[in-house]
Amino acid sequence: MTTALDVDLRIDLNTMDETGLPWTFLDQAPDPSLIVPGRHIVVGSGAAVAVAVVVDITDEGIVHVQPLKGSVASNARFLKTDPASRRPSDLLPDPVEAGGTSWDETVQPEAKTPGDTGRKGTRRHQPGPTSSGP
Amino acid sequence: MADRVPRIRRAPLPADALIVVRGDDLIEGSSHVQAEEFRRRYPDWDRWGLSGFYARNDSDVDDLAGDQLERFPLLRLYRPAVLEAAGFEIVPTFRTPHVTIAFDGDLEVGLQRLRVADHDERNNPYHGES
Repeated sequence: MTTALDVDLRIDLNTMDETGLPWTFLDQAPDPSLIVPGRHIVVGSGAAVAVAVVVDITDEGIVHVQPLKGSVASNARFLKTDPASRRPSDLLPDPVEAGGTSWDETVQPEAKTPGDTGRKGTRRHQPGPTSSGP
Repeated sequence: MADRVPRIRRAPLPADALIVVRGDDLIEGSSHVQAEEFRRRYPDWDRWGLSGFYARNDSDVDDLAGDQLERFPLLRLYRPAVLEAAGFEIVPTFRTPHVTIAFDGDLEVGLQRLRVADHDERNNPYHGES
C-alpha cells in the first residue's frame, strides 16, 4: 500500500482503447472543469501517476490522456502549481503564452482525429495544434 | 453511438506470448475500479476486463517496463496458461501488445482468483526515473 498523490483525473495507466491511449470517464475527475483538451494535469492512481496532456473528451464522456515520460516531479514545470490559479479556467493565461503546454515531440498523442483512430464516434473536444516544443 | 464492445484484433495471441504483464499501482481496489469501468464502457460484451500486455521474453518485459508501464513501481507477470486455468480469457484487444484479461461472474471472486494465481512480481527499474 502507498499514500496516494492527489490527481486531477483518476485513471488506470494500464488501460488502452482503440486510440492507443489510456482512458477513463470524465466523472473520475474530482473537478471536471480542470479536464480541458491540451491542458497538462496529474493523472493516475496510487503509486502510478504521471503528468499528462488531456487529448480529448468524447461525446460519451471518455477522456483520453497522453502521459509524459518521466516522473511528476520532472514534469512539474508543465503544471500550474498554485491550486487557486487553476480555476476558473478562463482566468488562466493562454497555455501557449504561458509556455506550459508545449508539446513534447516524443510524446505526441497518437490520435488527433477520429479518422486517425478508426473511431466511429465523434469527439466533443480536440486539442489545438499547439506544437511549439523547445 | 460508440462501440459497446472492445475492438478485438483478428490475429490471435502469438504462440510465443509467454508472459502477461500488468502494472500494479500498490492501491487496494484499483483493479476493482478498472474492471467496473471496463464493463461500464463495453456493456454489450458482458464481461469484466483488466488491461495487460503480452511479452515474449524478458527483453519485451523490459521494453514494457520502460515504456507503457513506466509509471508503475511493481509489475506482475503471469503465464497465460496459469490465467486460463484460473478461468480467465486473454483477449488480444486494441493495439499490440495490449490484451484484456476477461472474466465473468462475481467481480470480487474473479479478482481474488487473479490475486492468488501463481505469478512473479518484479520491481520496475524505470519507475521514478526523471
